[in-house]
Amino acid sequence: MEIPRNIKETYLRVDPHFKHELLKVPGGETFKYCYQCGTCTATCPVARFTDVFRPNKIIHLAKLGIRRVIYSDAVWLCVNCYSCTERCPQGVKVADVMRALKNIAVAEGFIPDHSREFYMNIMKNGLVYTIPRSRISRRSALGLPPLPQTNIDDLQKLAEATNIPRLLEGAK
Amino acid sequence: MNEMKYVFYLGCLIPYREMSYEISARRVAQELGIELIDMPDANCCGLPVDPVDHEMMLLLAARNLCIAESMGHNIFTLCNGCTGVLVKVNKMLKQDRDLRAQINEQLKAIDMEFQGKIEVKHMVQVLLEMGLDDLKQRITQPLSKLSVAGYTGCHIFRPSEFMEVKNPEEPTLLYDLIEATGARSVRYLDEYQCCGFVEGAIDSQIPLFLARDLITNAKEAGADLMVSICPACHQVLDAQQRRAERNFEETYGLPVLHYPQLLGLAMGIAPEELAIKDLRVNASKVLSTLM
Repeated sequence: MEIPRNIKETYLRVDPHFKHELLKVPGGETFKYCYQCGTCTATCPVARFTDVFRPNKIIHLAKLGIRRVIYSDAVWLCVNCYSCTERCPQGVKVADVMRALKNIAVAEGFIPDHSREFYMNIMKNGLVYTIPRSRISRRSALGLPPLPQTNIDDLQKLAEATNIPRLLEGAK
Repeated sequence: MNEMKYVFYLGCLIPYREMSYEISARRVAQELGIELIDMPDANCCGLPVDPVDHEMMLLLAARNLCIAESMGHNIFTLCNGCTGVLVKVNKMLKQDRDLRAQINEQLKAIDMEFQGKIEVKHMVQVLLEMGLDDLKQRITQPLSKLSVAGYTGCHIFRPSEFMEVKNPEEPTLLYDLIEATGARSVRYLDEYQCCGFVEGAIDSQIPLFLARDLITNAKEAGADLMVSICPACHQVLDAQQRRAERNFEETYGLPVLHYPQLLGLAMGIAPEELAIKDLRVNASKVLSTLM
């Protein structure tokens, strides 16, 4: 993914505040205990098949203040399987740290298309996918109960209290 | 709450792509006397929104929990992802008073309040709570000729901080359930490795590599078929198996059943009622020669 230009110009330098920012995001707190043993990368199913994703390196870069780490695909490659979190000898919740880094990226307007689409779908019909009509009619033909009809107003009201509407306004 | 009545949280992927899982689970639940009450106003569990905004994930999960609380029963789930999120948020809100106050403040906008009155249970947990002995008594057609490789997935036992499964490095919950049907449970290399389903959106190759590993390892260990307990895992192992075959120019042909399909067959339920034909990799051949 391309780095948005305004971000490119502002943040190519080392940013000493970045680590403090990460510590404040819920889930990011434990990254400071990392001592670079690499257990997370050794146990990571994704790291087995791509060179781009190395959780311990991402944490190291974040500690150094290389803010650029969140503008690459790398953090989004985490599948959230928690193998690393389970095995980290320092108690770093690696998967949560990756998620916290994604949250920071999104807060700066950097959101992958699929994540935006998921969110938009939820706000439109309550579910993360748009269920095709053919499947809805098959349900009734099979005698399965109708799918839930989510009260979308509820979801709108909940979203208003979060940062999301502001984040996605420009992204639409 | 020991009664066999649950609020059924279906999730999104099952009605979208894995209806056979729902059909077989409902059929088996009916046979076992587990009453499933549908949730008319449910929303996405929240997991897909976590990378976008953590708070919104908490709110979406909390809303589902509140609806189930108002219905007065524990939640019954089929998807590992939904289970993981709902269990986690339920525990977080029960344990962390400040977080609960903050979320409840936000839930006021939709006239809901989290009270912490219910539990969230995946189908396999419900079955294990019923007791393996009880389950074994219901088996009328033991699948003793079958060797089955169970694929547990991730969020049903990781992170162990929230999931509290016995022996999180090597949980046996699915193996016990497979053996209860009379089948032989096969252990294989990397059996607890993630299927990589969510990776599909970023890099569609990685789930294929992971599927290939899991399927070939299971086959090498002598499995006649695999069994999964999550629609996402099933997507990768079953629906994408042909893609993996084309991609690597190999042939696998390993059927992947949903666990309630296996259990249903062992309980003597007809394959048609368990939507066995809906599977992408044909299972009838293996089942007819071995049963």
